Amino acid sequence: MGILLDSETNIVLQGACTRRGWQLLEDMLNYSATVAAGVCYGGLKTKVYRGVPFFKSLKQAVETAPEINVSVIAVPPYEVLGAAQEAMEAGVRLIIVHTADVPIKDVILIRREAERLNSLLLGPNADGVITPDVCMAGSLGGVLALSIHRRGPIGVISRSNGIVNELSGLLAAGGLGVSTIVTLGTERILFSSFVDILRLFADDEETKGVLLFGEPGGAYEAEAADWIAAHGYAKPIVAYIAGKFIDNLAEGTILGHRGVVIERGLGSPTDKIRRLQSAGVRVVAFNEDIPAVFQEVLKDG
Amino acid sequence: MRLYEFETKSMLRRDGLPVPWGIFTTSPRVAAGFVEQNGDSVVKAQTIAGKRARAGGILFVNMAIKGELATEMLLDSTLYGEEVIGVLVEKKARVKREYYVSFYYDPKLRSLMLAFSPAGGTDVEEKIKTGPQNLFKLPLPLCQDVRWRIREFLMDIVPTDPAPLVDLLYHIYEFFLLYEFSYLEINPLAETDHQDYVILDVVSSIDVAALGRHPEIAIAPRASHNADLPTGEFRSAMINIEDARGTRRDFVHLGGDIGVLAIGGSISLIVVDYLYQLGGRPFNYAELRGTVTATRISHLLKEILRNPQIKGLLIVGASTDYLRIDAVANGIHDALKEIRPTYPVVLRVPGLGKDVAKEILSGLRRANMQVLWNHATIKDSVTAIMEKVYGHPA
Repeated sequence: MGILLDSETNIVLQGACTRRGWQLLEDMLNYSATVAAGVCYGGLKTKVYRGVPFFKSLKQAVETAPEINVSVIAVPPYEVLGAAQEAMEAGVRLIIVHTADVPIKDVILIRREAERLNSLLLGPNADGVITPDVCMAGSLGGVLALSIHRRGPIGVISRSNGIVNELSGLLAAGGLGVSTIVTLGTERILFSSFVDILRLFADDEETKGVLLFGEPGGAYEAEAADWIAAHGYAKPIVAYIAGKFIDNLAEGTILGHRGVVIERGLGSPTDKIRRLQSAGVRVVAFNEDIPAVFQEVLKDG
Repeated sequence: MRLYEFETKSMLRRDGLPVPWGIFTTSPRVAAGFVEQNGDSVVKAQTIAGKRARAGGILFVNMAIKGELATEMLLDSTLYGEEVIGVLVEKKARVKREYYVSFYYDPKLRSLMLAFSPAGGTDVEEKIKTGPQNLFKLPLPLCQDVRWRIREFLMDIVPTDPAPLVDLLYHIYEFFLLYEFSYLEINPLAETDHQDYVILDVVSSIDVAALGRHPEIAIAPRASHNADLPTGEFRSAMINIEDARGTRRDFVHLGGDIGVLAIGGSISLIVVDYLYQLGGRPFNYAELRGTVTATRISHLLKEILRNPQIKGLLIVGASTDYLRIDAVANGIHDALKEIRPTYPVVLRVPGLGKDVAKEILSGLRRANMQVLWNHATIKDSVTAIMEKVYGHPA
């Protein structure tokens, strides 16, 4: 049945009256997701849109629609801290921070609250989550979502947003499809990592294999590799790591924190690939190889 | 966003933290005057790059004339390909002991960290590499009185009474959070006589996402150091200043002959990887993020196309959610119409709004241009341009 979303998913959109919020609302409704409420912090421009009631605060929204259990946040960056806090305190179990460029300090503070209140957050700058034919929280592919994503056995976890539509299209064309796609967000410090989502896919019966899409920088691919190596994983994992060429650039064109002792060597794609491979993950050279590799490993399994 | 040493030091000084007495200047005469008044001094080239001492960017002087010459020399030089924007002239400190201190965020722990080494100085990196036991790390919660944690942490590391050092580190912790730095590295933190501490060198990065709520910092957002930007004009086209991949730049010159314009998150990384993997030679890496306008596309394309070594151009779009395909097509149209490349061009256009794109691009119909629609994969498009440029399939 996929992870994180189901037929009981009731979404609140915090920041429904921002430009991006409005777009997200349209996309989710077009995908027939249940959007229980919209919150417009700057004041209400409208009370109801396409059957979705709008409120000035999440508290009001939850009072009217207590079934709310997922939030998509599209408020401006400096308001994310407050919006996320409000959602966590209201007991929302899954919070997708769609907003990009959230200050690091706020990310750290939100994450600490999430640990205390036991909420799962994605982002910042996560496009969202989709379980095809069931629900889409956020937007993966905008108006194309209906035509791109096909239901199937592969769980997808990605640090990149746009690429998941390509990957999903490749899987569909290769006779496979996706159980759930989870975008982690694109910033250096993320609320949730590959490991958090791998744990969820491990328990999902529909998911027969997991695809990881990683990038240069950050520590989460290496963390996933170490975790898989230490704990094992009952389902096959295939990964693609983008940006390998970065490791071959001459010194002096090093990308990242030059002269910074602590982060030196952290986040190199070659290192990530090496670690993933030694943990038993199949790392593909081209995204286009992904369906064939899955067909092969799933048949073996 | 990386700050220059003099910028960080002036913020530190304003907040009452110990930095050496010094001035930032672009005038050799002013530097001479400073040395005249203060005696033994150090002249430090101001660049964003680290490891300046090793590149000859830090000079010790004891006479006014030497200060003047050192300043002239540094102002005329480049360090790691980066222009020196001025010098910081400081009174030389008497150093008894050197520590390494940094504050940074650990992405795995999602925590602020304090890293400390009693083996500070120019070769700290080697010392840590050969003896990781020389580096101590402490996670710190935000916005709390963490002095007791720091005291406990330092107790076994420093040979002296840690109290003055605890106060100093706590003060830096507050400074770091107040202005929302993303990174602050002090090396060395020098101990002079009688437990007097002074911040001799500092490398810092401020969280550019938070800059908007700190008008008091008064440093305009700027592109990070990039030695190989082709022109000053290009700089103005850059909108994204930092990104999470640590690439921190939007254009990297790679020296090959196939120009690349990729639109959509990660697509440019993939395209450049594919080119190399298949034996091609990409000319550049370029990333377009944020709001893609026709002007930005056209500007970036023209920058790429102007280079005489280009033998082919590959434009790859992906099915990104809110990509304005009309803007992309218009930008491509404008640039190609102006530059009129005689070499092959391959375009892969994603699904969203392809009819609009088709119409706009039809005005460009050229024999050497191939447009692949959304059934073609990224690999197909890379293979297509390589066949056209190198005359053989990948």
